[in-house]
Amino acid sequence: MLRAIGLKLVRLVPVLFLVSLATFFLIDLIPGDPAATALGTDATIEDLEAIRKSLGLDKPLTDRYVDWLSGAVSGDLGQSLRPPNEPVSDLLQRSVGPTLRLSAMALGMSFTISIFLGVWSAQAAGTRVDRLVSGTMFGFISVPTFLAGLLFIFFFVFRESIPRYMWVIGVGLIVLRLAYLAISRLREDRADVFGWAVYFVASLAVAGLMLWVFVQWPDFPRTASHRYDDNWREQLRSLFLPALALALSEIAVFTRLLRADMLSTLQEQFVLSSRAKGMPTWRILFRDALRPSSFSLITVAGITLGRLIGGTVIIETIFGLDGLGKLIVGTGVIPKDYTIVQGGVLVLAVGYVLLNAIIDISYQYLDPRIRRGRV
Amino acid sequence: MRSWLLKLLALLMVFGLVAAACGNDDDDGVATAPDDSAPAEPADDGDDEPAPAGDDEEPAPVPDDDGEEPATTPSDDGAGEEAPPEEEMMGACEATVSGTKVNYAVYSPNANMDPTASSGALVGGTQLVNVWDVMMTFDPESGLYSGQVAESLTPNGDFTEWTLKIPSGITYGNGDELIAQDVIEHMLRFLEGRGNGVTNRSAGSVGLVDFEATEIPDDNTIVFRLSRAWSTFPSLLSDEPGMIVNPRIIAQLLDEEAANATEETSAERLVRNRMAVSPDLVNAASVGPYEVAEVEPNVRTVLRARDSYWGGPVCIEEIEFTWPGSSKANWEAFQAGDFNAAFLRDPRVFAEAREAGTVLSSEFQNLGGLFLFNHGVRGADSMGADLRVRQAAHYAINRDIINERAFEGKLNTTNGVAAEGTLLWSPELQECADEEPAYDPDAAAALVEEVKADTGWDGSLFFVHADTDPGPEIAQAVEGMLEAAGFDVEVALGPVTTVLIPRVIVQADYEMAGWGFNADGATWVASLNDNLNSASGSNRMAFASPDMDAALEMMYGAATVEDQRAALAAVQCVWKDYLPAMIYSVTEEGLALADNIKGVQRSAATVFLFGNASIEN
Repeated sequence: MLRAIGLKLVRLVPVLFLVSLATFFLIDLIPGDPAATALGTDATIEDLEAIRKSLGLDKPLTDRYVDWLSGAVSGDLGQSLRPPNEPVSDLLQRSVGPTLRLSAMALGMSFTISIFLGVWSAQAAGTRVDRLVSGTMFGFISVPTFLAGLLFIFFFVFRESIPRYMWVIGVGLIVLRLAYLAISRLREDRADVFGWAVYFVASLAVAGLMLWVFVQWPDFPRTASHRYDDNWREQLRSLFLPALALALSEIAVFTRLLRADMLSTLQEQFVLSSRAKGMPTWRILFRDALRPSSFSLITVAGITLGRLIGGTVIIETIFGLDGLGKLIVGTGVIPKDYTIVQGGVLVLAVGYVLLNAIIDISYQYLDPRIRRGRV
Repeated sequence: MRSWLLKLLALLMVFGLVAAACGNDDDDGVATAPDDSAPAEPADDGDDEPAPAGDDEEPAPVPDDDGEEPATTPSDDGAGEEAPPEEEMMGACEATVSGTKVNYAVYSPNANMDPTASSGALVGGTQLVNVWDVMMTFDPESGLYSGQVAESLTPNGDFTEWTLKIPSGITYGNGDELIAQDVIEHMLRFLEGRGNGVTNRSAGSVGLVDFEATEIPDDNTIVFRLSRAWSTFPSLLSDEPGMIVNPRIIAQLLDEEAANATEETSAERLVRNRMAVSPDLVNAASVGPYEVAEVEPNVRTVLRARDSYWGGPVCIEEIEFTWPGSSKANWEAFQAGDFNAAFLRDPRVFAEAREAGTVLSSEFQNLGGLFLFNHGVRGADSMGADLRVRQAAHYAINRDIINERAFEGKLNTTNGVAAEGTLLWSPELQECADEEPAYDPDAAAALVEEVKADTGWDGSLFFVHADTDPGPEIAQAVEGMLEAAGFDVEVALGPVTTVLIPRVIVQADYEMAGWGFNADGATWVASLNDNLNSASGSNRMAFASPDMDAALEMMYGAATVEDQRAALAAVQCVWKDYLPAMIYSVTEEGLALADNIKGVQRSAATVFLFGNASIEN
């Protein structure tokens, strides 16, 4: 395994070189002068010339790239061109935390919801539930992330009673359905206490959860710009809406993907064998069928996480979160601060390769055949 | 049974949605009606007109006949609604109240806590003034200056000499005493550091002090000698040059950084960079009511009450400055309760805030919205240099259309260098302003045709504008109106930092550009002079007129508010002849405050002092 990781790291070198080269020369095509961004509106031409010289912007492009590359190779990503010229590594370190938290939360939400929905949808393939889930997922995919963010702000922050009552109605329907099943079972066979009591208890539990969430409904903040480094509850509260906005389309993709894989897995011999043995449905779904159905999901999730880490700029901007996306685009690309862009891209490229390496390794745990070298 | 149940559920859902939509949103966090004792909005009636900005009869800083009258005496009533009551000024608490916090949404994030390296009022001004404190404060209502750290600032008869008195016993965070020499050394940093990281706009004005001739009779007194008469010299000390950084710490840092300095990066620049990221350094070198607890340049700043503040206990324990992203986002976040203080600078947002009954402390920046013309910067071949083209643009552009198209009719449009209702507006000024070419598309078209015939010009005009909301709408409206008059407009829209500033300042590659001079009650003299004086390094347009230079000179010597109004009217009367730029609006800016925050003091360039502020339960 170490050899495999080593190989991946070696492959990383040309990737990083090409990515940094392309980024450097592409960013030079953007109009503007980074020196001007360092000065503000009251600067004189002399100030500008002085700062261009001090930032090395008077050197040819290739010289600047070589300077940057030689620093990067020795672990120095350089300094931001804008005052106070902070080390890029410090800026990245500060920004990567909020973005990682946001991305992880979005991914966690996506996984939790899509696994439940995907499995349920596959189990109930062709039924009304399946059609409802599929239709909803198509709806989710159609909503652009930025629009989802704005809608969530409107409804969760400024019209919070709407999602709150929607929650009650939505979960209330589930409660009623469970209660209906309990009553139906009770009417069918009063002696089968377990048969109807399970539904009855479940409906009570869901009703309790519904009421608890309704009462505890948090005041979601409009922005996520405050830091709650020591308070995870506040962190969750402030990141919930941006994470949900990011998760929306991922939920749809994951659910569709998992449903398709699950449908195929549920036709496998070992599943039929489990059914024949009389295994409970939940066990067949979650213990036997889910694991072999999750390859595509995990592959896509890895790519998604990489994309989320660098691509959350719109959501970070809407919610005022100072993360990596905002740093690279807002502080790097727009003012042409190439050192920040180069450093950020480097981090993203490394992140992508490492994530993919982790995914490759995880296959070995998911599928014993890969572990044993048979596939 | 099933279909009956489904119908019932559908009905319930509809009821639920209707109930939710009609639900009471009282808990949205929208601030309630203003409190009388809190800083209030300048416009009493909440309409869109610029509000009166003080008592017209109030004298400006002025010496008496023998030149000995302190210019810093506050008026009896001049503070108006904005000034905190006397008892609040004396301290609203006996000790810092644990757990009290102001969450302040800034207009733009701040990169550096060093006053020389901040870029002015909109960027970091409030953070800075609460950490460094300031020699003088300005009351925008009365136009008067008062001593904050300073005991007094007194002019001689012709305003060429100002005597600053500072009290004994004020100490920096490191225990050093603040002495007169420190003020001079601090001001010199603005001059000496040009090109080495000084980005503050006051650097040009500091140059008016003749430091060779300035005297320091004792540790508590400075006699400033100026190179010209300047009646509003206190404005300089109410801005960053009045926020003193302990020069002994700066000297020590310069020694430390001397070894790291290179030909490209001076020790001064390295010191400024260290100040940006080192709360301990800032705290040791400052005397203000707050210390820096955490700082992330360009992201956030957290200030914590200083235990040993010379002005007495600081009530509010913590202020956190963060940037939600825009004026609109600031307002929304304020409404949602994320922030209890939010800086606003958008007329549409102000209108909403007024409608919501929010406590506002705001003022109007004259010359906030204008279109620069390139009069030939560095020899550029620009049609903006032709007066007839500038007149044609004035005839072609209808301010009301810009207002409707870009600002939902909420903009305070004006054609004067001071808008009606602001302190320095006068009927004489308006008379001259009204003599400027007014909207007349036919006259515009005729002029354009005349210039084309005379010069062979093809009507092309390169117009640069920022793309920040509502920049595209402004540009579109202007482009349409100019093209209707026969101009052939090419528009360049883009970010301020990468398109507007490089095009206007660096390359001088524009013929007309969206801009703002932002001249408030304290900074108007410097602002107008910097932008219009033919000898000024910050004259972006290369506009040069001896008449204007003479009118600007009058501003420096104007002693009373009446004199200042007359001087500004003179500027306006020259303006109408030359039309150096086209003014279209006055910009309101200020703070939305939760109604339980009391005693916040607004000063020069719309900065807010929290040293005497408190939060009521």
